[in-house]
Amino acid sequence: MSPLIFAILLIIFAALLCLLLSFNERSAGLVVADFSSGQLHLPALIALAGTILGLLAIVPSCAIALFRDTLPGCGEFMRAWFLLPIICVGILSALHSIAYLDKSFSPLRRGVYWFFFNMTVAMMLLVTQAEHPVIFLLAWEGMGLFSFALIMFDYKQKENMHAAWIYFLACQAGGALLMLMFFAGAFPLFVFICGMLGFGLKAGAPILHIWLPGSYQAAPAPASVLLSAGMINLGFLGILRWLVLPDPALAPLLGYSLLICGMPGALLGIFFAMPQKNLKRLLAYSSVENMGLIACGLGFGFLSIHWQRADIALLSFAAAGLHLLGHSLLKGNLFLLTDHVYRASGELNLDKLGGMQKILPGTGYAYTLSAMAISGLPPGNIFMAEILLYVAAARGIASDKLSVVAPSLALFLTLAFCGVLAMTVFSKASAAIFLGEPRSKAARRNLAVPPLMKRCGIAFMVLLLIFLCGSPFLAPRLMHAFVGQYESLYSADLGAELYASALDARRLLGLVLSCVLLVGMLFILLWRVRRKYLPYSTAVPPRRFTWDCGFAQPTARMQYTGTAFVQPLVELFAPLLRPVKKILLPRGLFPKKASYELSCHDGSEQIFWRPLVNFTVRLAIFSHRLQSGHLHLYVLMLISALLALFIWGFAM
Amino acid sequence: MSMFVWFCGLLLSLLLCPLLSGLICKLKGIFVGCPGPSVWQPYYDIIKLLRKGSVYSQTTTWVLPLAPLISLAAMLCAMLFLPFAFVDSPLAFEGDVIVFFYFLAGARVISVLAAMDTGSSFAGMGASREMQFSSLAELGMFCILAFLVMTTGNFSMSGLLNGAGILIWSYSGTALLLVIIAFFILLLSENCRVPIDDPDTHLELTMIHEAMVLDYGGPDLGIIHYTAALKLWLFTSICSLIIVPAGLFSGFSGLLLFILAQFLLGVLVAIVEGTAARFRFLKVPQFLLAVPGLTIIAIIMLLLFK
Repeated sequence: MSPLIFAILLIIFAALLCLLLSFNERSAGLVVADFSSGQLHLPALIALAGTILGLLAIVPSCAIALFRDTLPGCGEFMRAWFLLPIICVGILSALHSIAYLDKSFSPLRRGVYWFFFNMTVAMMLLVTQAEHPVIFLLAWEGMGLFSFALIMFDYKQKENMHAAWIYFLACQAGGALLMLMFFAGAFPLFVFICGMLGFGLKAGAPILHIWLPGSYQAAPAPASVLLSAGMINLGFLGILRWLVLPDPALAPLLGYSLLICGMPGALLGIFFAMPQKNLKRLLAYSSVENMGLIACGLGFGFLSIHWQRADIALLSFAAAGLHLLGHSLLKGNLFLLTDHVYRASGELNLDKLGGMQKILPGTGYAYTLSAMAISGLPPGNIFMAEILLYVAAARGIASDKLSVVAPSLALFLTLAFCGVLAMTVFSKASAAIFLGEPRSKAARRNLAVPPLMKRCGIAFMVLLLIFLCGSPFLAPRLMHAFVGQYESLYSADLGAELYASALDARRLLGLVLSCVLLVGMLFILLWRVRRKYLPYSTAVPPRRFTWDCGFAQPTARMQYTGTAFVQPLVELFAPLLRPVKKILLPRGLFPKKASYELSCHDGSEQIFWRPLVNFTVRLAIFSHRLQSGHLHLYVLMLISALLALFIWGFAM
Repeated sequence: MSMFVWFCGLLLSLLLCPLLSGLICKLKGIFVGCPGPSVWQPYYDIIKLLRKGSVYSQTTTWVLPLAPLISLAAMLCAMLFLPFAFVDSPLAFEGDVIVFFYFLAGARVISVLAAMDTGSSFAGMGASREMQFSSLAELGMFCILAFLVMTTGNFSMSGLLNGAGILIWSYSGTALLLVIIAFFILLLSENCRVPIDDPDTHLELTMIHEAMVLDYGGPDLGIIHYTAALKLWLFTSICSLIIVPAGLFSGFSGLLLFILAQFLLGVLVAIVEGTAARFRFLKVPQFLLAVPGLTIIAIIMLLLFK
């Protein structure tokens, strides 16, 4: 029995045991361990132990697959690469869940939560390993259903049920498309379209991402982590495992379609992230952006195979791989940190938060650093991926053929624009939560955040740092794996190309890391000079009110909110975002109340899904007329159908 | 020898950058019809500020005191990749362009965060405008980078700016001219110069960069002034390196020409500042969108007439 099968069985067994024990009131209330933050009950302990032991059991085999130096193990490598975020995020979000499920939840609800949590993790593990289509489909379906239950965990709110319902429909549609893909083998193009749509639904492709913001917002924080950091990646695993290999002639088609899905996906994701007020929704749209960029990397890689430019292909595949891992960890971390904010204030609306840095200093540092990293700024995991993709695109731009230059140029500009918009989005988020003065009573509340949650945040930061420093070594490994996996797609021998590109990537990432170190050292040097050699610098600077023009003392109501911060950009892109404004102008000589509210509904919902649903409903109402309930009409329909068949039969 | 010249260029840039701002101020004064401050005024200002103490707002956290130094450190590291005095930087590598521009972007983001840290409505206004205009400017900048990659086939800062010979003016001179105009617009926007922002105004509602730093004083403000001057110098350097083809001058004559070009561009900036009025804020995005527009026209010309 391989460690992975063992792990899956262990996790499922723990889940079932936990559910069984939760039904019994005595065992469900049995407290095993007492934290300052809450208690650990017996069923939860079993489920937690199952998850953590199971995931830890995979670590050695995963590490072996990542570091083995022979090419034939490449399928193993790819699986290990997708397992890596699931392991990291699974363990940390399980730990976070202990603190999340405090005394306000009944024992049965806790048991149900752990059951679905464990089952989702187990199904995600099974999806990465399934070799046979039927097992894969079953695991895929199970993953959708169990995570659906997690999303509607907080079932008393109407919006949550609505979001869960959309998620359920999306999962079912995806499952149906994948079934078509597996069992319509005779038509390669049809298979391809079904597969792209089916996997794209999971990976949050543009327009198909409709389920994503709502369900991330509805799910409990640890479950959103599981979804955003583990599950949506699996859409790409599906594309890479089940869609690429059947027909090498499809490589350019796959490349173009991934690139054409990826670029608008990235742009739309970050555009719609900009005006969001709910923190979790903002993160969800940023996931759409990052998935778009990963799709761009993969698509550009497949296109470069078609162009016979192995160096570009290898760089972009390595970029996509690093981006995937970096995004998972960063997004997981951001979701957990968001939960700290929610714990401390009970508020997720950006325009009502503020000044939390003083209440949650550790969370503030971690959130700001992660936010900077996820928007692609230098000492971050995403920057390591993006610089590889930039170099790949620049090599494409420098080539002679127009067919190469045009997609490369589009990718290059998309990357740049997404990057700078992401900086806007995340500087808005971290400034609106942590900096300035509290904008509402909620932000002043200062409720206790369980220490266990804080430790999960620290663990995430350590993991991020490890993978950041490891990226110069991981990028060449990724290149090896891709070459091994898709060797049949190339016509020429790749040994020399692989060696050169691996060396390039390692050198580039190493140099970037040393530049970051240099900045750090320069900063420390400047800091020492500033603190030691300037007059007055040793004295503690006095603290006064923020300077403001014409007011004795500024209040929190005068400062910029998150919405105000992005309002000029939202107005600039109003034709795309279609913001809805509610303005209450100040009236009279002594105005009492004035307000400005700006919100953006999802574009794809307005433009595509709602008209589609309306059309379907109208069609259904129209066709409903046929079902009149009169027997003779049904008989008439039967006879006319039979007649039509007869005529068709004879005419043939 | 060439290493030495490059190093001299780096050192002179660090020393002379406030002089460029001083020159622009002086010339602007002459345009308005007054003698203007001395060209050494920025040095006096910085030295004066460094000798003072500072006061922080009680709203602020760790961001405000650290931001000026982080910006300066990032800028200092980024400038190591520039080919000063037409000599390739010894630290150049493929992809350092991205490091250069992302370090500048990081410096900008940290100063935006510092502005939001004060909780002041004016600083917030400045930060919001800075992000709006810089996001458009960044798009333009990367268009220009793509054009330079196409002409030189190289992706390091030294290769991009120094890689094209004199011949480029003969076979794609018009395209290059368009790109230079586009870059000059960017230079004005990124350094908060007149048609976009007014560095001298003291009316908070019309400011961008100055509004962001309203809450700074003392040594921090001095560092911010120096960083702004350095940024202007970096952008004029890039501009002059694009204009002057490589290989014409080498050694110390190159260094001399390089410094001269900076001050000539400074004069140009002063002429624009002295003769133009600041745009309404609603017009600025249109002006900035001219940059990608012009550059894409140049790229199409390059592709057509290659």
